[in-house]
This record gives sequence, structure tokens and C-alpha cells, in this order.
Amino acid sequence: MFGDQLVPTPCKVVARRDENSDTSTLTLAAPAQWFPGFRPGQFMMVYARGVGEIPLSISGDPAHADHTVVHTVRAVGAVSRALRDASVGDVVGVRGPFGKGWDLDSAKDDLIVVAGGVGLAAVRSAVLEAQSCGRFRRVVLSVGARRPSDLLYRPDLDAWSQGDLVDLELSVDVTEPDWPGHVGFVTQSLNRLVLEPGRTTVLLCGPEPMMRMSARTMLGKGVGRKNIRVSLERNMQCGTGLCGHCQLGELLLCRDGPVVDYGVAEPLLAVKEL
Amino acid sequence: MNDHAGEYCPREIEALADDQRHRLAAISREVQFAAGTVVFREGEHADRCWLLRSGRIALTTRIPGRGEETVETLSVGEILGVSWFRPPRQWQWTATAVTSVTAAEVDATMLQSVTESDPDLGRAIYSILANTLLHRLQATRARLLDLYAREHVR
Ligand SMILES: Cc1cc2nc3c(=O)[nH]c(=O)nc-3n(C[C@H](O)[C@H](O)[C@H](O)COP(=O)(O)OP(=O)(O)OC[C@H]3O[C@@H](n4cnc5c(N)ncnc54)[C@H](O)[C@@H]3O)c2cc1C
Ligand code: FES
Repeated sequence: MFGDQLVPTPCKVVARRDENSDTSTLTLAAPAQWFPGFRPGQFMMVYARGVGEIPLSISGDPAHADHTVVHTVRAVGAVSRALRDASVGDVVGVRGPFGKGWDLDSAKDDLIVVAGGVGLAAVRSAVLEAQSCGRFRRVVLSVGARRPSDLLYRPDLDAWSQGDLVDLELSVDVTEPDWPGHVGFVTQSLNRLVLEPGRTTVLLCGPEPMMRMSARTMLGKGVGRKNIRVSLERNMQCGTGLCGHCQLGELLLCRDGPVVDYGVAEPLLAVKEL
Repeated sequence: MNDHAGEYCPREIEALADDQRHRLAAISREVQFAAGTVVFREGEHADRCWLLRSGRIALTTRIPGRGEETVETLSVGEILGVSWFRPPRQWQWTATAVTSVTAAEVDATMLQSVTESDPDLGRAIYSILANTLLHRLQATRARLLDLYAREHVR
């Protein structure tokens, strides 16, 4: 655990990279004695002083034990905007890591990772780990964005598109000049995949309709519900299973999630307003 | 960007009997388009279709003040060209090779006569077309939701 479960640890912003017009990646320096390590798919509660606290996925490389924690934040409201606007040298509060991650240890040989919008933040660490652990026969990353200039992590995407380890397909809704990639929805590139369903694990993170449609495309290809994992989100406050804010059906997502298999998620996602 | 589909061929084609596949092969020919080649233009007579084997095709239309806009791209394993199927048999979009493309080109008149003379093959071909159209319709509807723009969270 990073610092106290309930009391944020002050961390200095040591780097900031603007990903697009509303999203930035912050590297936070953690005090060495507290640096916890994390598993891909876990999240931290990050506090903007005087504004509030929100859950953010840890998007850094799990192999980098350099006492930094990396978050990518999209400005949508007061807290996320304050964090997105944080400058190098500012201090934010951090507690965590919380939740179950993607659990790559139990994944099958072929990993299909599908991310939409800022959902890429929650799978980046999984892709980096899959790339470095060398355990996977195949890693496919299918990313959806509104337009090319919205895509996050351009240096990573460039490296993945040129290397042999990750098979990358980028899909945008709206094209821009000189865009050589796919224009369409992620399900179209998933539909084209030739895969061995019994050897495949799928990780999904993005807007819920995108995850449902991608899951159905994968079910249609014969991948079992248990081998499709989705990262769900609901409002979070304590992060520790105490307050009940993140309840979804019988789950407390901060504790039992945010990653759950589609067998569990499917009925919950079908219930209106749950 | 990689084409990660490998040697993809629609399942319905793979499931055809050998003699049916030979009949299809007899009315197809391998073609190549260099990047930038216009495969067909909006409004022209639609008399062919293609099964894409490699590369990427953009479907575009001209919008005054915005130029040629891409509405969708197609690649490996996908079918390019369905407007031959119903009157007025005119292409609805302009198709341009974004990268170099290889494809199996099929003459629509011959395809229709093959499907009429062999109902099993006809069913398989129309099932491929129906799947293609259904999938594209669903993907297009998903894009209409503008999910990434309005998402407040991920
Ligand atoms: C496990 C988890 C991991 C996350 N990881 C990231 C990440 O890596 N990067 C990132 O940018 N965001 C991430 N989010 C989302 C982020 O927590 C929210 O955007 C943030 O809480 C918004 O707070 P705010 O005060 O800025 O906006 P608010 O003013 O609270 O909200 C702005 C709008 O977003 C809606 N909203 C806010 N939070 C949620 C939510 N959790 N579920 C549904 N609707 C919501 C509100 O109803 C409102 O319409 C994650 C959320 C969870 C639960
Ligand atoms: S956030 Fe409090 S129980 Fe999950």
C-alpha cells in the first residue's frame, strides 16, 4: 500500500506531457520508503489540493521501479481539470494502489487489448508488461479515438507500430489529413482478427457501449465470457470497500474490480442506472 | 500500422465445397492497386466487387468547403463494393487505395449468374453480403454515438 489507505501522501509532479487538448500525463515522484509497486489495471485516488479527489488508473510501466507513479488525466470536471492543469513542481496527494488489476498471470497466450479514448490509460501498463515479460505468443492492441489528434501516447503508439511485439490497429471516427490508419469503429478491426478463441484473453477498457460491442464481437468469434475482462468504473470515494459509493450490483468496484470478467459484467451492464 | 488480420478469408467462403470455391475462383482475378489509385468513383456504374487481401481502401465523398472526406476504410478480409447488388447499381462513394492493395476482383454479372445456377453457393454469397452489411451498419451506428467525444470518464 502506498502511504496510508485513507490519508494521501504528498507527491511532486516531476513531469507533464500534454497528450491532446484535454488530457495530460503526469509523472509523480513518490517518497522512496512508500513506493509500493502496482499491478497493471490498478488505480490510485489522486487529490488536487482544495478541490477534491478522484480515481485514476496507473498508466506507467510496472517494470520501472524508479519511485514514480504515472497518471493520465482527462479534464472533465473540477478535480480532473485541476489535475490536468498541474504543473511540474506542484504537489498532489496520492493513496493506493487499489483494486484488482488485469491479472496477466492468468491470461492465455494470445492477448487482445481493446481501448477507447482515455481507456488506453488503464491498459497501457498491461501492454508494457506483456511486452516486457515475453510470455505472450501474440499481443494485439486495438485503439479507438474520436480523431487522430486525440490519440494518447503517440511515442508508444509509434514504437508499437514499428516493432514486432505488439500488433497495433488504430481506429478513428473522424479522419484528419494524412491519416493512414483505419476510419471506423474498433469492432471492425476486431472482426477482422483471425484468432484461436481457446488461447485468447481479451482486455477491454473504454466507454461502456464500446466495451459491450467489442465483447459481443469477441463472443461471436468464440472467446468465452471468462476470458473477456472489462474495467468498469463508478464513482469512488474511499477506495477501500468502506463507503459503498462504487457499488455495482453485489460488487464494490474499488475492491472487487475495477477489472471483472464479462460473465460478471454483462448482466450488470444490462441493468439501467445500476 | 500493421494489418493484423493475416490471411483472413470470410468463414462462409472457407466453408464452401471445393467445387464451389473453384467456381468462384473462375470468375475472380487477382488485382493490385498502387497507393493513391482510385478504384471506383461515386456515381459510376457498379459492376464489380473485391475481396481485399492486403492494404487499405478509403471510401470518400466530396463535401463542399471540406474537400474529399473519408467516411470509412476497409482492409484485409473485407468486401469492397456492394452497390452492384441493387439498382441503380451506382457507386455511392469513391474508393481510393490508401496503401498498396491486393484483392480478388469479381465481376458482378458473372457472380449473379453463378448464384442463380447454384442456390447453395448463392446462399453462402448472400450470407457473406448480409454479414458484411450488418456489421458495417452496427459499426456505423456505434460511431454515431460519438462515444469518445462525450465520454466523461474513460
Ligand atoms: C477505477 C477508475 C479509474 C479511472 N482512471 C482514469 C484515468 O486513468 N484517467 C482519467 O482521466 N479518468 C479516469 N477515471 C475517471 C475519473 O475518475 C473521472 O473522470 C473523475 O472522477 C471526474 O471527476 P471530476 O471532479 O473531474 O468531474 P465531476 O465534476 O465529478 O464529473 C464530471 C462529469 O463526469 C461524470 N463522472 C465523473 N466520474 C464518473 C464516474 N466514475 N463514472 C461515471 N461518471 C462520472 C459526472 O457525472 C459528470 O457528468 C477513472 C475512474 C475510475 C473509477
Ligand atoms: S469507493 Fe468506497 S466502497 Fe468503493
